[in-house]
Amino acid sequence: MKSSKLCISVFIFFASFTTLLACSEVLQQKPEPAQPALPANVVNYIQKEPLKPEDPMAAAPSEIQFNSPKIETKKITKIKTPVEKKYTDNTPTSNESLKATFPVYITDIDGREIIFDSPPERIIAFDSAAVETLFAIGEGHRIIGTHDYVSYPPEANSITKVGDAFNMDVEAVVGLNPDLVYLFYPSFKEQLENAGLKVLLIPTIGDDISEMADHFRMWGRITGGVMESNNLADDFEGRILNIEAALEPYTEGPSVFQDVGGLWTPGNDTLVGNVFKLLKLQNIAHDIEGYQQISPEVIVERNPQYIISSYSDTFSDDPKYSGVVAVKNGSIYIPSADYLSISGPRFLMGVDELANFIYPGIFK
Amino acid sequence: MTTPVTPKNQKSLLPWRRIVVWIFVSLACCVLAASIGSVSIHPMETIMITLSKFPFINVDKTWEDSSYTILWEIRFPRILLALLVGASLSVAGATYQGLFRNPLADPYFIGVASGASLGATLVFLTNVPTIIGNFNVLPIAAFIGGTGAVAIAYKISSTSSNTKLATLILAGIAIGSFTTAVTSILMIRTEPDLRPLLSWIMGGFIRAKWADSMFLLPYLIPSFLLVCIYSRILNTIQLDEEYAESLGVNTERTKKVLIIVSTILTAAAVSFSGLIGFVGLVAPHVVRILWGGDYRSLIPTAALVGGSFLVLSDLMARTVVSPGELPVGIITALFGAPFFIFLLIKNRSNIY
Repeated sequence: MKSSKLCISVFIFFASFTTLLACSEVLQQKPEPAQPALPANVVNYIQKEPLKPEDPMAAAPSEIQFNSPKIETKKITKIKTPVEKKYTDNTPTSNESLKATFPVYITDIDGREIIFDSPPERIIAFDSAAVETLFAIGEGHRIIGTHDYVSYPPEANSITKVGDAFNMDVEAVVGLNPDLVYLFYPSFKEQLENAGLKVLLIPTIGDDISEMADHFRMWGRITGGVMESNNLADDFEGRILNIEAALEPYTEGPSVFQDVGGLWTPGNDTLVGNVFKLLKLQNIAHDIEGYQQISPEVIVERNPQYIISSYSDTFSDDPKYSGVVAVKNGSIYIPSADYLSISGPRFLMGVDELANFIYPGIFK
Repeated sequence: MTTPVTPKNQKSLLPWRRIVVWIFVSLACCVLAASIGSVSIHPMETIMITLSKFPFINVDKTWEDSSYTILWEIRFPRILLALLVGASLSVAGATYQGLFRNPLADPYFIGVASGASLGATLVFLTNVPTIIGNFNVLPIAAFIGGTGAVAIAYKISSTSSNTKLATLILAGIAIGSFTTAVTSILMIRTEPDLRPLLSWIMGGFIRAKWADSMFLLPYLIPSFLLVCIYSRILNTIQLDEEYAESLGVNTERTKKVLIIVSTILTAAAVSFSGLIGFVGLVAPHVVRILWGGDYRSLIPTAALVGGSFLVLSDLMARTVVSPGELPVGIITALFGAPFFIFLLIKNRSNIY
């Protein structure tokens, strides 16, 4: 009796795990065909050489060459001077379209049109990016309330705080008597609307950097600061164009891994993933969806040339990563501020900082 | 008339065969876990790298450096740590269950978990440097938090002459709720990037290093031996505390020793792996259901079963969503719970 129980239990133990392992094997193998020709270091050279024979980047690791530890030096040499594709500054023109016109219609997340007959004077902006944008276009004086984590610009510190990332003090919001409440998540929308307040909830920016410029313009239309917001948005788009132009001569840039703490990392379908695309960086976590923890084995195997992390000692002090090119070369980039986590006007400062670290001297 | 089991007349017969079988099962689990991962390494390479680590065996280096690092610096330390943590939690869980005579008891029963999370949260969310000198602050803070919470609960429930176990449980739960509340306040009031903290709280071996296991072993081995020595007394306590006392068992000393030992063992395990649920609760029960509740054999078997289970759970945690990872606590509950329910149904007529 006892031994039969033992047999049964051991059997079940193993049967269940082997089934699951089989499943995991399938899962593991699935994404492989999606990656372009994995093993072919040689093939890669041959394919690239006829295209750009003198291009040193052809020898640099591309997405395809994750385990080539031979490349020890960061080598990004340009082959021709970047095209001078400078955007023209949008100096105030007598353009009629830059004048504020009311009423303004803004479509919210549910497809409803929110109508503004005049610029709101008492805004509660429950979003760091919105606060930054409003100050950047000179309309920050309209903000009367925000949440605890807003810390930029310095003027924002004196604004009344009406909640943190998880909770909004609805009573305090109502008490401030705002004529617009801007939210980036829907939790308190109904409650606020029931209290008779005008609420604007628009979809958060997914992974498209250029949407930020649209947000700037939207705030300009709402507050009447159309010209300033257009300048801000044009400047934003122009800087993106400049980066694209400066990097145009390059083929694939170096490989990167970003750790946002605890080996959580952004995949390609994130805002940061798109920054990497813009900078022609090869995200080693390209097959991660959204943000996820990545296996340390994968980091070692894909051997990134650059690591972006605020927790640099996670990598530099760990024998696991001692063979990774980024660690060997000391190419660990520690962001000076969390610019890339707020999709506001300072976002591009984060991009510039990263770009200058990886391509020193290419951007003026 | 049946004679009650007393320390004197218990047959000193350990089921060696079962223990040896489980040692091999554990080894098999480790081998399986070493050969599979999010990066595939050729079995031959795995064998050669492993062999090269044995003394007196010379193996020519034919492997990639990255394969070596992945196996030797990532997989092996992880497997060993999972094995040791699983064993520690199971031994601690079995001890608490025996001592409190409560099937719900698990290693986190009297506040270790919430105390340890508070310690860890303080490190994550304040600007304490994560490394001071050669020491990693996080495990130390978690260890102090975990043992501290239980120490307070123990102090509350002890008078000069004895410790009331019911009071200890209640005090542990009260302190646990309090520290959890403090942890939550800290989480809500600080910067919103909680991912590193949350993944620690959910538990996992993503940070595992050799040094972690080397730190855990000196806690595990003496604690394990002590609990084994006390396992006869645990058997007696199952019947009745007063009865055990009448047989000459020093129940106060037993309680003190076992609570201290299991708490330290749990806190040490939690310091490196975070809060991994379910293993410590269920491994002892599985052993009890399958092979009976004699603590002399239950303790070593539960250690091996819990260790193997956690090794396999970690294997799944790092392969199922490869190249990503899941917190291992999700896997232990997701796959452990149905198995446990199956056992309960199979045996519902003859347990508890």
